[in-house]
Amino acid sequence: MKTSRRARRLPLALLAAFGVLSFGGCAAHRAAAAPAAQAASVHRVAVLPFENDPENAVSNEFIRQLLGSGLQIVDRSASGTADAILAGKVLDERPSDKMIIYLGKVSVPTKNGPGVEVDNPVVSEPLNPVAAQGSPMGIAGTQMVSVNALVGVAATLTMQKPASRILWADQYTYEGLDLAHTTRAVAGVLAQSLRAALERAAGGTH
Amino acid sequence: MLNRRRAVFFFLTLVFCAPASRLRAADGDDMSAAAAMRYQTGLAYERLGRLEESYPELQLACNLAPDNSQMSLALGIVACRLARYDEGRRALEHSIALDASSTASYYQLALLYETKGLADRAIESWQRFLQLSQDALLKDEAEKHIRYLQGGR
Repeated sequence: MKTSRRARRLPLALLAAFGVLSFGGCAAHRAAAAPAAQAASVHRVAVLPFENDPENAVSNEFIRQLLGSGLQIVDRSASGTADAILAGKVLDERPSDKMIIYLGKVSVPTKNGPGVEVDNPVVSEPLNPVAAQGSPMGIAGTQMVSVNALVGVAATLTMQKPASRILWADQYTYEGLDLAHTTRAVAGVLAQSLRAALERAAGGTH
Repeated sequence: MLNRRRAVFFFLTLVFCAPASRLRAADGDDMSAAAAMRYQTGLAYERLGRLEESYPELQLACNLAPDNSQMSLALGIVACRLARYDEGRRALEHSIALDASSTASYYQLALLYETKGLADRAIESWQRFLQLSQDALLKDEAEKHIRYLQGGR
């Protein structure tokens, strides 16, 4: 009985997809790190410009955050001399993520039952219908918009020799009032994750 | 004699004080009507994205009605969108002083305190927001902010 080549490859493809999805799901919560011996040999790191970051705001923030970490940080012009390369991608950068604010007492629907009355609620999705009470000048459902910045970044640290061995990978998304503060927060969390992984590796080799 | 004097005093009180009190009441009504008009104009500009024009209208509304929490909240939000964080902070803190259950004021203040580097105040505001909000997505976000501000992620 003949099975087609495509059918034989299906279980492998499913296994690969499961692996990718599992890794992707975990990456949002905890960093993935390589064996200690290799990570411990990293002293000089080159920070490359991140994808989707034309003004290099994220890579510059990484350089700033890592400068006091005990690692030697170099830019891409000296990447040939580095032990490892830090690179990444800006997954999400929205300078104007909008939340709706209803002014006044508004009945907000809940998951389990009837609406609860909330004073000046903020909602991620517009409410429909809106039951506002006591709005000024008889206008029901007076609302306005709160605008936030949202930044998501994925980063990897890759060993130069042996080539292309990924030592650490992580991603983080955060929201704030302005883009500069939010970028700082995201780069700060990822730099802290990287430092912790390298410190653990250094501790593990002793 | 005494009764006559009392009657004259009562008459004079009616003549001089009653119009004054009517005038004060009319002043109050005019003030609140003017504040409401400025407020609605400010919100209309905000909806059009004309924040520079919205801001002075809301400032005037707040000056005319200093005890109105909603107007302070609206002013605070527009000030934050214009990156006038000090003015925004004053307006939002005032709105909370007038109405301690103003959910949006805590949300906006928490973000503002974070931007200013005031971690403890930001955590307090996020915690109060968590108590008041019914939006599951925003509650998750508030918890994430608290973890971040406590040094986690």
